Amino acid sequence: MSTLLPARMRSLWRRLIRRSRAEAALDNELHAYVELLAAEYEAQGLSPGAARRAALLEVGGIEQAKEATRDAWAGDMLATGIRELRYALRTLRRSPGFVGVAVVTLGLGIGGATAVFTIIKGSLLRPLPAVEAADRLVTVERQQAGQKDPDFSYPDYRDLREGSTSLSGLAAYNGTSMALETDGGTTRAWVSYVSDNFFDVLGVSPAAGRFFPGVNGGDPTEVVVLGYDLWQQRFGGSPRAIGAPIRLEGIVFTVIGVAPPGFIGAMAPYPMEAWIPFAQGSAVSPVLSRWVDLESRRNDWLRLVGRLVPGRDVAAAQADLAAVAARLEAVDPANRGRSVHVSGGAGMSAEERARLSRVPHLLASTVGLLLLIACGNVASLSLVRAAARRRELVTRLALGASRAALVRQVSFEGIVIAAGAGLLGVLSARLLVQSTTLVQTVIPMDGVDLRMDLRVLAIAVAASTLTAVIVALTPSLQILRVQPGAVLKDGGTTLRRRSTGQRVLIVCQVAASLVLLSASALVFSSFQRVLHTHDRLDPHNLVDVRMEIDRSAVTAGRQHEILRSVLESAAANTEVSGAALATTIPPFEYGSRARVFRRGEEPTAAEFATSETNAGLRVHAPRVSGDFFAVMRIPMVRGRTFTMRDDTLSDPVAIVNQRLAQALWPASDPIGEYVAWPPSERGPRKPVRIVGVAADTRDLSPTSEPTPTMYLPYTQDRGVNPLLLLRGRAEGPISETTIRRLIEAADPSLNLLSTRTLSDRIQDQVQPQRMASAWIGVFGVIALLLSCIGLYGVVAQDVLQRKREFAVRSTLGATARQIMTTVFGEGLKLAAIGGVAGSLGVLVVQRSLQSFFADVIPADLLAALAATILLTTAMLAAIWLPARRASRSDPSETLRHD
Amino acid sequence: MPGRTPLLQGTLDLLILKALSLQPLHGLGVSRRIEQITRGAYKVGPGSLFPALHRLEDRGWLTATEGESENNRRAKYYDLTPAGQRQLAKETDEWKRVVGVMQAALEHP
Repeated sequence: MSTLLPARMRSLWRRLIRRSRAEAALDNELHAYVELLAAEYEAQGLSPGAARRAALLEVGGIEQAKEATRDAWAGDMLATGIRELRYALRTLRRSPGFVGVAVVTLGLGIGGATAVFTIIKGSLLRPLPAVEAADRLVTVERQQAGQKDPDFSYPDYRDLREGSTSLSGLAAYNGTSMALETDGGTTRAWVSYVSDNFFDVLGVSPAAGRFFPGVNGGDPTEVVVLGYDLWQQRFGGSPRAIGAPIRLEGIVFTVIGVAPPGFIGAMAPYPMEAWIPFAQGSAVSPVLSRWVDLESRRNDWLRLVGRLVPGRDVAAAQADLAAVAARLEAVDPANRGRSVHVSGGAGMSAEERARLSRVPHLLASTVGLLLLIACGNVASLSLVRAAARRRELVTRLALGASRAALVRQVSFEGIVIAAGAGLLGVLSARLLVQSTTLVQTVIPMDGVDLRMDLRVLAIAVAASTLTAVIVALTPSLQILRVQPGAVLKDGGTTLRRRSTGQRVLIVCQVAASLVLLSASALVFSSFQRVLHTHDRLDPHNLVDVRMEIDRSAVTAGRQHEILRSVLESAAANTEVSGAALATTIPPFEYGSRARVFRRGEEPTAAEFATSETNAGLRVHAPRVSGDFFAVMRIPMVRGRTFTMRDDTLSDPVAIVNQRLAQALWPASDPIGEYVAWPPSERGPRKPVRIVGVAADTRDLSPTSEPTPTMYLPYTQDRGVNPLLLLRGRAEGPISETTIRRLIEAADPSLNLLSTRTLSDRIQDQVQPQRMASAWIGVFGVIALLLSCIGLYGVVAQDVLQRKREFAVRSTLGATARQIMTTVFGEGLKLAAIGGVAGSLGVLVVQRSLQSFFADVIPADLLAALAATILLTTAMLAAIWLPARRASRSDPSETLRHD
Repeated sequence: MPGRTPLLQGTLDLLILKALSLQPLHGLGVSRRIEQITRGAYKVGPGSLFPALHRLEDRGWLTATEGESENNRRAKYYDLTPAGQRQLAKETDEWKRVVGVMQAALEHP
């Protein structure tokens, strides 16, 4: 039996695809037969001519023999196949409703699933684009106390790079959003600061100009490599861009090269738009000098990507780099307990990858459920239809058709439907994915690779096949059970009751749809809430202004005076309703975090140097002015805000957020308590006294809790260069001209670098969240559509089939109203059982969603309730419309017709 | 056809399998061998022989190879595959059972 199928496939191939060769072989074979026969006659003494004639006569027509043989060729496969296909098409044409619903349901299911997978793959799961042999790249992270941290200090990077033997190159990079100024105006751009060998390690060659020189080379000026798109936008792709000046954060850079098209750097999923070397020789780039210390091993700010030497694998690199890290432990106490973790791939840390891939997993299980619902729809429809066709099938069975033939016939119907659904699925997926103008309004699609690949198509094909099986199997099971005699005896006209299987299917469908819809609604509203958390900050008319104070004024120690005059100048402006200063503003970007302790619990310098764990609490520590809380609309919960009296002469003070207060003093009032700093090389630092508690601000990730934050007064910090926050009186943001005038009026040593509204800043940061949220939304809508179509189809078909029952009841005296009541009652009962089962499912799903999202709240169950109501409405409409038609039709007509 | 006994449906396949159970044969060889083992009762012409041979080949019971005949002519030789041997055994058993049953039935008083 095992050789049977391959042999058939081979013969099919031989005889259908390579037809002419098969024909020639057959011709040869028959002629050989004649000649062999003639040879026999010759041996019996006939002349060659007579022998040949006798042979031909005995064969009796070569052409007829050929024709008979051709009929046998793969005949039972193909000829019957075509016949069955024709028959299936004819049968299906008779029930366009069934075919329509089945094809549309499945098509949308397959299309939705395919589209979502394509988008996820194109955005989150793709390897770095435009990079040579991306599979040879590895990500190196720090491993410490069971935790992975992507950032390294420059000295550690240098040592790892020099010490490794398994990597042909190790590059360091990170990136941030910077103010970019060209002749075309000022905007924000994502700029990556990278090591000199960055492009070599990624194996990228310039589209124009050149990349950075070697380690000790160094360019005379600051240099920048533009991304291909930026080059097109700002310089129209002109070669004259090379050598042209641009400004980043107000500092002049010379363009030396252009990255190839499609290259987005190594910060996936964020596409970088320009690259600068973070240091030339031993001089750190001026845009980074404010917070980067090249020599400190405690200043972790670089991510690492390496390329494996041919023949080495990730494990070899791990062993190799761990050995280097072990040597580094001895070099500096800061490295005590630190090792490295090497993982394959580049662009994301292992943790980011894991976190991001959770979203696709979530989506994937939703897609799975969606497809299941679609298949469920078709299965129950097939069941309804099979019941209706019982008579036809039984008649054919009685007329001598074999059960196998009948099963084969319904299988062909399944194949036809699956082919249609698969086609529609691929088409609708393409449409969904390509309607970027529609999608772009909710999701930024920059640099997302939207080509569908084989894997995605495989999903569609697998789904279609599953459908074919379901469509074919459901009626087949009935055919195999049928007793022709029994059915024919009652003429197939008994009042058919819904089978238990069908009722179970309806219930399951209601339940599954409910779970899917509520889950989508829960996730969607959870994301949406995160996206809108910051709305109460009124981000639209809040502008943050990046300024620079002349170095001479800083050396003279005048910056507090200058900052104060800016605040005064802003307060005097009629367009400004509030002004404040802050080094960073919420929602906080990855920003630097300080380590703090309750006073008395801080380690000694010796302990801190040798401690192997991250002791203390990591907090954001923005420096702000007293009006910061009012301008940012962050309520003060207790205590006071900063005043001008909190200066370098008075005791250091701080305001903590509720989260930090809760973490350090869960049971007591934090006002008047002290927070201590870890010991530093620069000597002991005075503990700070808590004078106030501010409300928490939300971070952007739906998965995270608010970060502990300790606000410090900028007036107690000499080295600050804060942002100026301006709240406008009008709806929109304050114009840049006004801001420029205001700053110039304050002090001539101030330069305006860039301005950005808070809403722009938030938009920049929430891209992945918006994306996920939008897709789950799209999904929910498709799911709702499918569920409604499916339920409508199943219930309506079912009601239609009971026309005869209604007619009988009607002739027996039942009114249309009574019939409707009965039908409705039954429908509602099924909906109710499905609803209860679904609700239990929703509870389970909600519980598991809580592990993804910090704040799935019961209020989101309102969304689930809305979903239930919608589904029930669809179901009732499905009962009502056909039932009304049935109850109004003339009963005698119906009965005679049957 | 000079066949003196009409072929029972299905017997041709069994006869071909049986004819090939000793050695590979070309088309005419199969025909002659069947004539021989049925003692001349069945004579199979090419019009039914080749369709049957090709059908059995499609089912994976026979394989075909090019070869030289005894008088140096090129011809297609058929041989049983392991699946064909199993099929022959199976059909032989079935045939014997049918024969036994029929005999018993017909001899029943």
